[in-house]
Amino acid sequence: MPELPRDSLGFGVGLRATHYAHILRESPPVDWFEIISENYIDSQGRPRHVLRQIAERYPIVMHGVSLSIGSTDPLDFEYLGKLKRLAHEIGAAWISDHLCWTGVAGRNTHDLLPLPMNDTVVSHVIERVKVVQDFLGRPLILENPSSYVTFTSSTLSEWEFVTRVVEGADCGLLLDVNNVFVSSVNHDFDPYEYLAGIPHDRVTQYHLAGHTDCGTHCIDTHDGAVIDPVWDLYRYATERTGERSTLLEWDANIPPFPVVHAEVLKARELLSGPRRDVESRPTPRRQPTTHSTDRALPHPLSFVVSAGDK
Amino acid sequence: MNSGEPIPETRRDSVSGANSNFGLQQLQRWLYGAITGSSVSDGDDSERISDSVADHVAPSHALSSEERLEIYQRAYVARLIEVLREEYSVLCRAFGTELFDQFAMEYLRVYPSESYTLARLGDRFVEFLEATRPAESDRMSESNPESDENPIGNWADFFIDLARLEQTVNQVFDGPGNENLPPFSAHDLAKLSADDFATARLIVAPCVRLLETRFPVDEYFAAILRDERPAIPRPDQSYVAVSRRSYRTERRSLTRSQYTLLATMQAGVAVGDALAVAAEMGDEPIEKFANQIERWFADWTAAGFFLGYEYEAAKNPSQPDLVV
Repeated sequence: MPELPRDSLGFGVGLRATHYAHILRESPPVDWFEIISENYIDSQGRPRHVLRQIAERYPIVMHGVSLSIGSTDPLDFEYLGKLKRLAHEIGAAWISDHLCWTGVAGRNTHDLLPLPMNDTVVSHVIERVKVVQDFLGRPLILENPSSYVTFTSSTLSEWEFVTRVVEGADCGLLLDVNNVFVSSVNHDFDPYEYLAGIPHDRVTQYHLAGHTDCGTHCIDTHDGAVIDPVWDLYRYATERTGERSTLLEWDANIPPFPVVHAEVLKARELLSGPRRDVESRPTPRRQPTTHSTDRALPHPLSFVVSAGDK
Repeated sequence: MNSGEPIPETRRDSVSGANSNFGLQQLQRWLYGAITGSSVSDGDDSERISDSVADHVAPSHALSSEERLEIYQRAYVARLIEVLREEYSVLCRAFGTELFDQFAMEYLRVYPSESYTLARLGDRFVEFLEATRPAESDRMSESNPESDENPIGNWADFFIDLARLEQTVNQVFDGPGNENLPPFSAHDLAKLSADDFATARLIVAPCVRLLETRFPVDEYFAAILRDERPAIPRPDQSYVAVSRRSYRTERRSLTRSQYTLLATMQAGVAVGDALAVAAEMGDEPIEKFANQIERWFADWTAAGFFLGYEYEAAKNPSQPDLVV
């Protein structure tokens, strides 16, 4: 089994259809792109055609939303085979998905649903990750998702659960610091305790994104800029892991590409600035959203529409 | 499985976890039902777990167990309706968002997603609209307020036709195309003698889809894309070809003669026989039909409708001579 990717790809952006034309025309100086795997593994049309062109110019990471590694349904080897073929075709740097489940009994909610965090589920997930890694012939990188419920059957903290899974399965961790912030609000834990408690040497990649603070809870909407408390968490985490490939997700109210790119470049500025005391833990501050949160939807949604091409 | 990758034998059972994780499986089945409103119970009551949300979901400082679960319940409906609105954006504008959402919500109840990809979410939407169309008795008793000639059932036919067209456009957009195949030109076609042309079977590209509709929905579809607000047209048997060239979908209205000719060739009939069928079943005088054939084939070839041709088996019984 190849080792976990250690070298940073730099500062990347999630590839979204609305930016295809700009990227192909301008070849912006972005370090790398992350794709939503499900938008391309079955494509025989323009999305895959565009992806092939972009993959010739930039490193690509495949990020999935349907592996459902924590489900009790059998693993879908047809799906995994498609992932493997696309990864080979575009020379994907690595393949990631979420530490979650998305459906059961053959049904799919298309949401990243949380798992109960206990010994039984740790063993269940480790076994499945090992099968997936054997099949793909490369390490799987798992992301901590945002979540909105916890279970009475949980006996471990989330950072203990994440640590047990990634170390037991010998896989990588895609650390989404925005998700840590969102879940810390929703589940009343200290995000710095989370970041101090995870295995830093297994962090392969970071995710950054905006969210919506609804007052009583936060939703991972990927619809805006990264807020300062999340930048604080990112700085705190990278002081422990060293620089890792960092990616900005922006999936709703998507601005022009230069705006998205500029947002992730803030991470580069932040990392090139003076280091602070590594024990420094700024107090997480909330930034409640003033507009209506009725339509706040968790992201990512994995769908490339043909609108505009109809 | 079509990946060609072996599944490790020793792990075939363990990867399902169905036996060793009975509690997790039951919790997942319960939560799926609680979020979607659709049960996936296997019918064995002895295996059911408590329906009480508080038994499974812990509260937070700010929200009760039920309030936390509601976040997922709201998101499930909203996100999937959002996807259907985008997949059927023209139909959504024709219906109006409120009515479209009503259909979409019921559709999701009847046909919950069973695919890893949201691209398949709306696969059965046209089938659903067909199944939920007004009963025949209603069709005759209710009428379009703007036209007594359009009973409400005909309105249903219009929306179903429109949905079929939009679904076809979506499928052609991301389905198999001819972009990476050797180009087949009118020049290639012109090399054939008249006899060979008549006995050749033209290979129609997989991205060419032919539709016969009860309403002229293609014109309506185009008007919606231009951000116009067209009136629902009167019924008129119509024909349209949806195809793709250089990764862009194209639609072109067809006459009945053109539709018949293309559909017959698509079914594998040789050109000469297909022309005979189209001439007989078409909608124009035979002389006019004959005068247009050359131009039609030139246009269709330029549009990438054909990948090549093969000769009748009789010319070379041992092996069809595929020319692309």
